[in-house]
Amino acid sequence: MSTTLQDDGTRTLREGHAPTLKVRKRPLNRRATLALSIASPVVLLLLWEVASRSGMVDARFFPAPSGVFLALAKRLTGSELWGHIGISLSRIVIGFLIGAVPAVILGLAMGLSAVIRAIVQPLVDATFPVPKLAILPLFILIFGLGEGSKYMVLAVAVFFIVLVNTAAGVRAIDTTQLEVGASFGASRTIMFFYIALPGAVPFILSGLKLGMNVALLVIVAVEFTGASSGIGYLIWNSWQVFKVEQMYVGLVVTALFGFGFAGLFALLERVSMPWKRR
Amino acid sequence: MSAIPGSPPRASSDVKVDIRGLEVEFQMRGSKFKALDGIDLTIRRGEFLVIVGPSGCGKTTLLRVLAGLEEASGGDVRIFDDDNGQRPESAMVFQEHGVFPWMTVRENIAFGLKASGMPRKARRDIADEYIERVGLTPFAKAYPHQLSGGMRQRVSVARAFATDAQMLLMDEPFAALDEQTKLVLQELLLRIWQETSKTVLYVTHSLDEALVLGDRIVVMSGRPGAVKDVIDVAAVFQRPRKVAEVRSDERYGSMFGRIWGQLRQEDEAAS
Ligand SMILES: Nc1ncnc2c1ncn2[C@@H]1O[C@H](COP(=O)(O)OP(=O)(O)O)[C@@H](O)[C@H]1O
Ligand SMILES: [Mg+2]
Repeated sequence: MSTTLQDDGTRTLREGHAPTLKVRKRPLNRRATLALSIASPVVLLLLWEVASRSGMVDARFFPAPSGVFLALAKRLTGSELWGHIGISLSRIVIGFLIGAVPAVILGLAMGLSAVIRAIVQPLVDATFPVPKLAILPLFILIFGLGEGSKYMVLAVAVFFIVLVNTAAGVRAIDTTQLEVGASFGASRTIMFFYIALPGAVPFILSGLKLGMNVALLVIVAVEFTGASSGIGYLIWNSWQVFKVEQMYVGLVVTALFGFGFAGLFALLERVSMPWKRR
Repeated sequence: MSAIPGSPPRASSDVKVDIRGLEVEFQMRGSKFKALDGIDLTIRRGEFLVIVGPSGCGKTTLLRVLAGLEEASGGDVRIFDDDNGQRPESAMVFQEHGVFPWMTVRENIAFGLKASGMPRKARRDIADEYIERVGLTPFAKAYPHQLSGGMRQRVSVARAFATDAQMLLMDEPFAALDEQTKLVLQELLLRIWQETSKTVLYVTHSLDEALVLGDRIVVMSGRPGAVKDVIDVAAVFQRPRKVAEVRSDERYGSMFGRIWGQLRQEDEAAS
């Protein structure tokens, strides 16, 4: 079937004129994929190295990667960087959990119950668009300048994205599968733990993944100004005192956080969804 | 499911379901329309009743009312218990997507038993028995995505039979399968049914399937759905049956012609 757009803007569908688009369906083999995905960042780093050393780019702003990695290695042997890493990680994990756990529970309830959905949905719709960082000052008023306000900003940011995804996940479950449960007279508990929860797991996990990315983003921003510790503080402070290499060390560490969380979630996916086609 | 107060019981030992004047209404963008209008039907205990009819005539709706998934808006449906409610009233087999992708074959088949609160060990034993009966023993621990469509329907059928429900409600369970697989599963279904003496309500749009499987065939007419004819097949094709033998029987053609005549009138009325 093909679509033709006519002069008057109307479309007609014609049978029997299937476009012969050839799609390469077979994915690259694993080794080739791995080789390419290693090669591309390495090549980029090499280009950067050359550009920085040869003066093609300003080495004050773009220090050579080798220098950055040396600085990183040196700092990893001391305790200061580890301190920043530890404090940021604990903020992320605690804030994430405070936000994600109730979000999954409420999201499942919203997906299953039209009543709960009718109550919660308007509140979510009204508050979801508020940029989460904008409530930091309010939370500082409420929870003080300490850790509490940081956890809560993270928690709120994570909460919404996980909630919305979880509820969507339950709604996306094939209605037949919910009816199978009902037709066998399954109790609410069984419907919840054996159908709604596992059925929504793919959406929940992608919600958690997005939530973790948001948490990383928010924590760095929060630490820029409202903290005297953490990776965000390290980056901001390095900029203020013009220690560019140290700033890059902070950037590399945040990137490693991102990689680490991505790996963690890939593992979680494998463990929690043995039934997924791979 | 409502009983009319004061009306005399119509129960007799060989009636399983008694449907009188059943109506089901749906809301469609504010306006109401009747999917089923004045269905009268008696289902006998232990019979294999097949329902055929044009698409959209309310076959699925009828099954869903009996399964308790849909509310009747009028009329009277009575389901008579086989044995004081010891066993579940009914179990449903859906056309597709009925098996849970996140459960193994064994977990899927045991699900109905779990829902009825049976302890783990007993559940597992019964599930394994039915896994064997439908020939899936090597796949007990497989997930549905690792199975063919036919194997997935075996799981659905086994899950329904495993609950030992008094009545099986099957909604075009084999419609999406290829001919060969369908034939094998029809034979399998007949065999298990014969061993268990359950009442079966089987919806299909295939006249062949109706003739091969059914004791009686209910022909429905559409918009709104009503019972048009009931054809006694058991009087013609004796049990136990072989699918291929029924098809090659000389009376198969005339029976086919009779139902087809009914359905064609339907088509002409609709067009
Ligand atoms: N939940 C529903 N809401 C509105 N209309 C419905 C609903 N379920 C079924 N219908 C309508 O009722 C009629 C009968 O449907 P169904 O029982 O599925 O027919 P069949 O199984 O015979 O094809 C159809 O016109 C269908 O569109
Ligand atoms: Mg149907």
